Amino acid sequence: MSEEKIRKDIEEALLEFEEEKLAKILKDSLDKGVSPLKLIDVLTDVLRDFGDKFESGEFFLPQLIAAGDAAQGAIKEVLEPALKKSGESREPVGRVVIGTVFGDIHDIGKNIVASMLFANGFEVYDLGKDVQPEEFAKKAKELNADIVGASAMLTMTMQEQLNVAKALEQYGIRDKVKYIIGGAIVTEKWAEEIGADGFATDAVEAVKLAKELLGVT
Amino acid sequence: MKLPRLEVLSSDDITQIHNASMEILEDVGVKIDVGEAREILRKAGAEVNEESHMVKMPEYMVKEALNKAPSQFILYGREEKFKLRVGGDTLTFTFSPTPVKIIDSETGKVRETTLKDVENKYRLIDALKYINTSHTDVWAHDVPLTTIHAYEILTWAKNTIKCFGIGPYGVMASQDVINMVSMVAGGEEELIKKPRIIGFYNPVSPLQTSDIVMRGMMIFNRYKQPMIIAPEAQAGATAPSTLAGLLVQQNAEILSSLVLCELVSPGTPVLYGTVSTITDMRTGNIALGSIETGLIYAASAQLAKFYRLPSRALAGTSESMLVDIQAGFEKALTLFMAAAARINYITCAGTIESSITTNMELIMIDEELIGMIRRSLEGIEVNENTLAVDVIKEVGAGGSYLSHKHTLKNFQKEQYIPFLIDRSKREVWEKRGSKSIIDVAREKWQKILKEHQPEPLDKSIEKNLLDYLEMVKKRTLDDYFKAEGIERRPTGLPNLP
Repeated sequence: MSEEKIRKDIEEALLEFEEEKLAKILKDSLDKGVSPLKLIDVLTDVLRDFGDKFESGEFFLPQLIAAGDAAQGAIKEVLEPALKKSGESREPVGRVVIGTVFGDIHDIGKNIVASMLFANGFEVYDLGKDVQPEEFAKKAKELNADIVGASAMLTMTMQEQLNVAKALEQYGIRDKVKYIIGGAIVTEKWAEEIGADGFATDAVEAVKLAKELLGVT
Repeated sequence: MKLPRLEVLSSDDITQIHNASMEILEDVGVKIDVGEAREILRKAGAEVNEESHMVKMPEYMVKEALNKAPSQFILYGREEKFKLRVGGDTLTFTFSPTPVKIIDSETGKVRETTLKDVENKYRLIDALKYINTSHTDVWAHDVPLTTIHAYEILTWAKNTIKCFGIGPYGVMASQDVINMVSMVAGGEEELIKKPRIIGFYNPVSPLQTSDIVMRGMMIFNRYKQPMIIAPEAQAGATAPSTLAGLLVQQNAEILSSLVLCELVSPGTPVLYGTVSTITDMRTGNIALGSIETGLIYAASAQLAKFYRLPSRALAGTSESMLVDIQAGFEKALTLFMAAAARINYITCAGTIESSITTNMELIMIDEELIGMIRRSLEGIEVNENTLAVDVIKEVGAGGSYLSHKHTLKNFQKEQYIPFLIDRSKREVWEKRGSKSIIDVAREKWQKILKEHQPEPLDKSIEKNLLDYLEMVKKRTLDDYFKAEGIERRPTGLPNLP
């Protein structure tokens, strides 16, 4: 099976948001001897292409997120186990720990950012919502994360983004990670005040920021 | 006749939405993290899962709550003589919550809002005709977070006799609000008899609730202060992408909160509210200026009427970053649709950027817009006087009506007389300095702030409020968390500055 054909099939399955179909294509390819690393490459490349189409206005958010979710599922279920077996390892663009801060249960924006980061080759660990500051720091330390992202939707809970910064210091990893924040009411001034390395107002900006901070193109 | 109510749902549509919401409440329920609230609901017949915190409610609970909730109420201002009837066919227009930024009129630049902006807003609104209440709408960044509600009440009381509203942000702050406004009202009993605080409660879609705000809401309930229940569901993100589906979910969220309010305090006024909108599918952002938002408001007004509850919506909103044409038409359309649907309480004035940025000129422009929209609702009155047959006969062919007694007697009732819009010819307009409506609005608000003296607050009340503020200033944020019973810093992180 040629790489081109695999790519085309993967693209088709993703466009139909068919996780099962995608899994079957990937399994067949593995059986035919294509390496799991190669398949991950193709998959993320297709997603990147979708991301470009999203930015140019050709694709819409639900399509992008659904394709991302399908790909994420296939990587976890099919490709990662195969990778383990093959003894190969995969180097993600960067490792991100992300969550909505303590006291806040608004997570739609955070989910979109997580999904977009994944679609752009990042390994994303999503802590969910209403996350204590220490949880961010603990997980980032454990995973040796490159980036920690904290989202807050409310003026009241924005303060928690400062506490995440403090927790990162307390765990001695503030210098080792890039700390980024987001949310409807977050401003550049606030990001500066709490010593964050950056802030973004939407998911596309968040991906650009993450890449910029890690020096990835 | 008056402008007919804008309707976007048939009575069959309404029945279908109601039944669907009841099915959601019975089969899925809502997630309530406040144990006390779950217990109250369980005792009244709800099926409670103490592990998942999901609370399922049978239809009879909703019906009982609707029987207790008043269809209208009176909201009092700082002074008793200022009062608003909310419900039925009444319309009230208010400032729009909660901008955190302002386009500074001096510099034209966006900056964080301050306590001075809060004061300016209250004083300006005190002088305006159509914008009738102001909630804690502008966020004062230059005072500590722990004192913001106390500063807000003091600033309100000192600068306007109109009504006040605030979100019930937790147990301690909500009790502060009750205590301080009671000082203004002349005691707790007076406050209960003549409510002065319009509360704002936001269920978190889909089907969740914020525990801190719910605890605060229950305090406001106990003092029978009117409560706005307004989900901010986003079609396609936190609600189904179909508007009907959003209405089903929003309805379940509002009615389940209503049930709790009426159990905590039977007869407490509740407004059927909405801030729901669609998701912009290019960015994932909200679209409060979208035309679909207007449709949601119209449908919400119909559902509120169906349940005989007063209604409330956020309208006059725009995603524009500027005071520009987009802001103009998005604001005008959403506001018109909400008003034409007869939403009783419309929080609408003074914002752009999805309601997070304010601007003084914009408050004036919205006042004008509200005036025009109010006029449109009056429609065309037809009777012997307005048909003016005798006058037409009298003036005859080629005559003039300009200085006719009939004109003098009627024109101010028939026309909305604008105070910003300039209808001069170009040459005259140029001679006067070629001013845009924004220039005129700026001159007007600056003049008002210079000249308008709000009715002074009783000195002894002011002293009591100031003393209370001093007490609040001594607290730390952890005091607030302790009052909520929330263990916040298991590893002992330092306190906020």
